[in-house]
Amino acid sequence: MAQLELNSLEKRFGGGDEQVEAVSELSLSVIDGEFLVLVGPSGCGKSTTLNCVAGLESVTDGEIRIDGEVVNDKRPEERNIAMVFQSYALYPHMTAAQNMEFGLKMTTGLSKGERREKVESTAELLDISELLDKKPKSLSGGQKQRVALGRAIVRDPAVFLMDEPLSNLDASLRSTMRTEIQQLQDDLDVTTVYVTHDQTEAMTMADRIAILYDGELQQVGQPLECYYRPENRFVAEFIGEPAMNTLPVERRGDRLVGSGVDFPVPDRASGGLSRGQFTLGIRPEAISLVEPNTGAVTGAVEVVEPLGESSHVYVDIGDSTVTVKTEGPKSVDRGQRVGIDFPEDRVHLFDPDSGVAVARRASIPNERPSDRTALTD
Amino acid sequence: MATERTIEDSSLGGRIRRTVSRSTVGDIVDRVVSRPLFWLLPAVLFIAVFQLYPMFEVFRMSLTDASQLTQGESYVWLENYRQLFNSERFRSTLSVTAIYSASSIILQLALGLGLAVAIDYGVRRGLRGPLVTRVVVLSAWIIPGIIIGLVWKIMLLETNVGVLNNGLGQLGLDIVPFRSDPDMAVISVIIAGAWRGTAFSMIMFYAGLKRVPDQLYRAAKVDGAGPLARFRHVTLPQLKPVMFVVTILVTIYSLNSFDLIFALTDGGPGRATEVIALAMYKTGFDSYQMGLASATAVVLLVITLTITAVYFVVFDVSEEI
Amino acid sequence: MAGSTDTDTTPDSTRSRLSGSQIRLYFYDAATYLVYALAAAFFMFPVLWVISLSLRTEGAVYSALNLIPSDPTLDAYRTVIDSGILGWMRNTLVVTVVSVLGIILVTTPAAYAFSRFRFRGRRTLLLAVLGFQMISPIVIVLPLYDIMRTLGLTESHAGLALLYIGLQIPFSLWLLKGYFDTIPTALDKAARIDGCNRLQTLRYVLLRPVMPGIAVVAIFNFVLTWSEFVMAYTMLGPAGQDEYTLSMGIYLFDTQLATQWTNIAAAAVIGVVPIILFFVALQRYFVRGLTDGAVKG
Repeated sequence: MAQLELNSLEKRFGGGDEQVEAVSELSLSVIDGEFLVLVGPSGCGKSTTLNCVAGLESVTDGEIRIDGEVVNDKRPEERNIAMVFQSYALYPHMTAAQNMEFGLKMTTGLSKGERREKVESTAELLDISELLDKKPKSLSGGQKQRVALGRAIVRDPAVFLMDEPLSNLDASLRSTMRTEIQQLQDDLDVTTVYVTHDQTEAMTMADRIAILYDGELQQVGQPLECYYRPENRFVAEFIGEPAMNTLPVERRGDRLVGSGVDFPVPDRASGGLSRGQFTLGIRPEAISLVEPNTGAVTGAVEVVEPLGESSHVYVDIGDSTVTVKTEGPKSVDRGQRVGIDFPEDRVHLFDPDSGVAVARRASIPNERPSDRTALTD
Repeated sequence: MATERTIEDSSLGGRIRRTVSRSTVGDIVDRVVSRPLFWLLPAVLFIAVFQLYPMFEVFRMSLTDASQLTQGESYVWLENYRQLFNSERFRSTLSVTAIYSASSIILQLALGLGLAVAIDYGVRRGLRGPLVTRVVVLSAWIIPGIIIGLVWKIMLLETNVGVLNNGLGQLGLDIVPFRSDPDMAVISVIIAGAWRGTAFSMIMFYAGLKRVPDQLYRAAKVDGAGPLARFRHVTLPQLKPVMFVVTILVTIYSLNSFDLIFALTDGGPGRATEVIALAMYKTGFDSYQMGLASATAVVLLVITLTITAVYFVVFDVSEEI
Repeated sequence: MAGSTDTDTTPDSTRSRLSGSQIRLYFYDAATYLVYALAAAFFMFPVLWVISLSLRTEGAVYSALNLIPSDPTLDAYRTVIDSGILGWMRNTLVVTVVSVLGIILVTTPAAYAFSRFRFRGRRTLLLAVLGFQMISPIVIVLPLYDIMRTLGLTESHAGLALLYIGLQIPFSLWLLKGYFDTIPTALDKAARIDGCNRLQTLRYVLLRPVMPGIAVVAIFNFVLTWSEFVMAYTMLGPAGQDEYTLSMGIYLFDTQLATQWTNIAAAAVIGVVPIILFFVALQRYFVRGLTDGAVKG
């Protein structure tokens, strides 16, 4: 069990003029037993961060502490961590058991018998006892994934590092393994850093998520906090599916006007808004379709994607297209003129240059039940 | 942000006797093996001693009057090259090499491509024989060149022992002077060279053909292309990268041919089959004129590199590298 | 697209076209078999003829064209073996095995480094290696002789093996690097996490997956080294006959026994048969080495 801290972590690749900054000024702390998901688009520095924590990459500047101890210059095996890789990275010439045992063999003084015992009990935990004598080649994707998890678990590390461990699996297996990994982490209660580009994985698995973009930390918080109260436009658009709509607006008196939109300035924001230009953000699921010429804006339906329980409706409002998520089967037709209404309390306003949120939701709605233990803000 | 919690001592972790505090020794090993030089040093040393240094040395020697017979050497600068280009022998050597190489390249590429297509076709059609043919042709390539020279020498003997002349004699024809007539000797050397070298271009082309996706042929069929059109518009363009590599390598082999000719004709009759490599070797080791021989080697190298450079332009591989 | 009209053919036209193309297929098949037969004849006949010659009596060489000698004898083999060809074969085997082991030993770490490290000058060094691969050793045989003499390595099998290692490294390195590149680097990372330093990573984790590549390099170099003539002839030439390799022994045999064709034929057969057997048994690997190496180069 351990706490992991990153203090102003910096990682630059290359030298001289061609230096590329992969991670800049990243500070983050993961508390004991927490499941933290590092999420962001590819190239955002999340994997680099994980590799730095693992000791696979050297750190340019800043500190990594595990249990209070600075581990910057320690070799991976001295950091008390274990890692699960995207492609499983099982040793092809070793059996599942040998794969799991290898780390113990290299880093501990355990006898052969003791190692075998640990491997077997871990295998039982993961329900892969029958696979122990098989080579990776004869294992399915899900089985390989389990063995890879077993290899990490058997080491009994202070911190688990997982690098997109589910992205090589097909969709149905992925959701099963998602639950399973969550369950395991809960049972083992080991501090875990989990890297993914998939915001659904981040939302469903994490105690807290840390959103990275371009090497910089955008927001850290509980999944719902990030969803309801994004700190900037990037987080707002990255979290949530379909993505948040954004529209350029201008403040005119106590109204926000732009590209067909005419909307009162939300109460909670009216004080802080002095400048004229803003980006208005509204989630597709927050919008309701109303009669034409009522609501904030009116437009024509471009495309309807029925998904069964809900539908995605794309409405052309002149300069841009607004995505609307409606409940139930198809309720409107292509070409139909509809009005769009934004509930005032669900409108986000961002600074158009910096993207920083100047008005966001006041709080996470209580009626949304969460099975995760709520961390108090 | 989350507040720090006190960290309880883990009993689980404590149960494992970790030996990771290998400290100093481990650290030193770690640091040494993290340097590429540690891994590259032996290879770099070997290359430096047996390739890089000799390369400099052959250039340097070509500017001297070094000789196996006398100890000292002095720089004569371009004298060797002047002598070389003024000598009848060298000019004949150049033209023999040009004829031999050009014929060999054309013959080996054509035969190799033909055989590769036949083998690829047989494999795709499930015919019997492609594997055996491939193995037989390749066997010719792995036989030591010096022995190939001997084998062909026996084949081409100008008595009844020579099977070809024996056969021609039974047909009532005169003995053909395969090795004693200057022109025939060149042809003999080219044929023996093709006997040996065709295998290489065959196997390379075959590997290239195997990589042509079946879909392309099917697509071409759907578009109404007959077998010849498919070969012209699907196979050949797909083979271009292989063609480039094979042409370069066959050219290098041909220009630098030595052992087969050494055994088959030893450059004779007269100097009719004396290619550059042979001339260089004899100048160096029979006449002991190391300086002149080195100059010959440098010319050979320059010719090889120039032709390779020309291929790079002709094949226009810039986008593939 | 043309495809849609193409499939709309009537049954009749389909049938007639099928039989037409069937005939064409038979024609191509027949032509292919003819190519196989011609190729087999052209490439096999010289070897068969030399074998046939080697089994004849000295008097029978001028006679019939038939491949199977009427009065076969092993006399020629006896003569050749008495003049020490088995010793040459042993020398060749020793030099070849030592060279191949040396090549593997030197190349494997270097190939690992080129595949796994990113260091300044890597690209330049790789291109230099590729460049040396394109230069024929014959070009540098003169200075090589001087170097070998200075180092006291002429007239020595060990010296010759060292030379072969030096000459074969560029090709082998390039080929083996290609094989290392096919092994995912995630394995290296996993090994690092599992507590391996780079030496251990190579030894315990990468060596086994790269073994097929090493086998290809070994087999390819075995054949090349076994057949090599120029360097052996140059470096071992001044040594006594007992030190010769097979190629140079057989060559000198030819110059000495100029007209005893059965003996020369027998020597050639002895020189050829082991390497052909070796090749036929392992030709798959060999072909892979040839194509992988050159295509990647």
